[in-house]
Amino acid sequence: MTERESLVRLEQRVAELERANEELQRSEAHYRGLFDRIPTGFYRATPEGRILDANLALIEILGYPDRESLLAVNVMDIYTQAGDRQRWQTLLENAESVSDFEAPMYRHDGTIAVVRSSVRAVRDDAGQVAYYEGSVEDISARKEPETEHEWLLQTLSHQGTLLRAAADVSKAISTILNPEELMDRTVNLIQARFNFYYVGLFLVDEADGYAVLHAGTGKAGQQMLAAGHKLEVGGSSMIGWCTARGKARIALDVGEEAIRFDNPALPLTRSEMALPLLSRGRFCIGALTVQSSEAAAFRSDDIAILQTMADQLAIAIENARLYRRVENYAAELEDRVAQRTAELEAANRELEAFSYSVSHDLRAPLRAMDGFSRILIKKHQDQLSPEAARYLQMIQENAQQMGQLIDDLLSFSRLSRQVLKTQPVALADLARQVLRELDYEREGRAVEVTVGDLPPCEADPALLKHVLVNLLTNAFKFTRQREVARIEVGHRQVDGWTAYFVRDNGVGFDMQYANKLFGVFQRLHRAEEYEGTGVGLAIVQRIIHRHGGRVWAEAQVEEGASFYFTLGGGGCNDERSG
Amino acid sequence: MTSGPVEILLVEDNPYDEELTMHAFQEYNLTNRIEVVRDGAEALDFIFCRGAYAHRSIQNAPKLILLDLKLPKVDGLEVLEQVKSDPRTRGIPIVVLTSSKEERDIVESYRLGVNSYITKPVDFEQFTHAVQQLGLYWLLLNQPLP
Repeated sequence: MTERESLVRLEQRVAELERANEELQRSEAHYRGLFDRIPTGFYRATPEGRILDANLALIEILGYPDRESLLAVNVMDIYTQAGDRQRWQTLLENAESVSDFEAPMYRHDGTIAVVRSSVRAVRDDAGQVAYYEGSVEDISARKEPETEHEWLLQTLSHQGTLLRAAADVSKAISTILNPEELMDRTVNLIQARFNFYYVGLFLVDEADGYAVLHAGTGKAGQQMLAAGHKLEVGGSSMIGWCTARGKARIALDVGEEAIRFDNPALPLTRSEMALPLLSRGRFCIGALTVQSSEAAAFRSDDIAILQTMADQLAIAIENARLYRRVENYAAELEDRVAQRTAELEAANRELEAFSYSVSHDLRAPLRAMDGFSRILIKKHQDQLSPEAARYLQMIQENAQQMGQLIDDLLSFSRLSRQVLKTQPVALADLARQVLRELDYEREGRAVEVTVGDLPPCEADPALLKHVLVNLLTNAFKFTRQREVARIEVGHRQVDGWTAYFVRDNGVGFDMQYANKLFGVFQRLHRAEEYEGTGVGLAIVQRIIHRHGGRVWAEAQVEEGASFYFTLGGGGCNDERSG
Repeated sequence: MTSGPVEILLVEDNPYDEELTMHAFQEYNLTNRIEVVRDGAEALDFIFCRGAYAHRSIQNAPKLILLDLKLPKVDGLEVLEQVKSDPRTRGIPIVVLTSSKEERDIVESYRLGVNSYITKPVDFEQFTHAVQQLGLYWLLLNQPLP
């Protein structure tokens, strides 16, 4: 190639470049024009906050006289809330762009414009943020509805949404009976249905005066729960304020609030509401915190709706806690019953072993005493003085008395172990049967016995027969000295229960000893007058008590006695009380 | 010791009860045909011809066993069970003669196949009467297994 040819080429190249440059400048001017004419504000800024470029719309939104004066300002000084820029920067760490981000900004004249912006991070080859570019829209005006009608519609639709969500939450939580599950489900449900940033639930710990976090949504919730997050009741937090006063509180813009807990786990919170959980409408058992990443997310009208939901929640929590308590009581009771039953079974086994041994071993020596003294009398009578024979007679009598005592005691203790087999019983028939069996008692005596028209009852017939045998035997015994003995089996109503009675015209007794009548071995008559072991009425009482009934006596000395019993309404039931 | 075949085996650990029983039998001249053993193990040895009674023949069974329930070593119910579950001895009448009126003793004895259950009364007259009656019944009236 010649030198000239090279020169020509160079000139051509320069011309091309000049053209390209002109083209570029035209294009640049074209886009600058476009950039400036668009009614939305645009900007580019470094991560440090230096504004690289801004369009006319932005200059206008922020009320600056010209581009230079805006470019001279650091972005940090424009945000009214220092944290706002930090927030979207945090968001951009994990995302290419953030859109519809609302924040208040200072205008040049110091007034505040609420803007909605979208930001994109432009990164260099190393992946570091080279600069941010974004759009800015002034929504200060939009925040206020233009007409009454529009305002009403907007409010209604907003409240409708809230009410639906509140109803859904209330419905869902009313069926959960496990307190932990209830609280966990509730916070997540509220968070999802109302589209909140975070929802947490605190319960007041009476002992140390703190509101303790019991449920919280998301990762922040997990972290705080793990850390045992709690706030002092009456302290300088929204929850502290709310739990101390039992009133709801809203922070529409948390940066403005003096009372709030600046929570590092929840950097995006802009609006916050604390709702008290009131038991029976007054006693504060805890509080609900709902947080939004938007400023001014709540209206005062919303409190009523959310508070209604919180009231429902308080009831549900109380129900769940009561249910848990009842469950615990039931379990505790069951344990105690099982323990008592085991103790009683052991005691019963011991008693059984004891009476078994008594039954076998205690009678044998008596038999020997009775037997050998009889043999002595029978075989060696001629060698015995009358006094010696009398002593031997007394040994026999005492041995037999002791034998009777053992038999009575054993049947008495057997009564406690015997299973009650109740069935309808025709008491009049039973009384007549017993009287037939006691016919021998009437030999050589004048006895008038009447059995009334007794209503049937529900009882164990074998045990009830025991009762009648004992009472009628007593009646025969204690009328022995009457010329004509009169014995009556009847009934009358006492306190709404049928009281059956056995009445006689015998020797009676002094009522001041009535309380001793039914004790084991208690006797009101001397043995030489009226034989007996003092166990009969104790057996009667044991049987009646096992039927849940009551037994008592009315008498006068020498004027006869009446023994009453009922088969219910005794309030003292050995069967049920174990 | 006995002369002639043993008619009654009395299983009784209480010497006083034994003496009273023997006294009751005396009037019927049955005492020389009664063998007394003091516990359940001895009773089983006698019945099954073992140990001290190895010389006996099992065919030569007593006509009646009077069995107390509360016995040392092997109790009465177990003796009853073994005798009644062995085909060779099942036919021997066993009368339980005991102080116990406990229902479970009575029920269990009948379940194991006892022929009769008598409670020893404390009253010696009644006791003598009972022992004599059952001796008479089982030895004279009852037709044993051929």
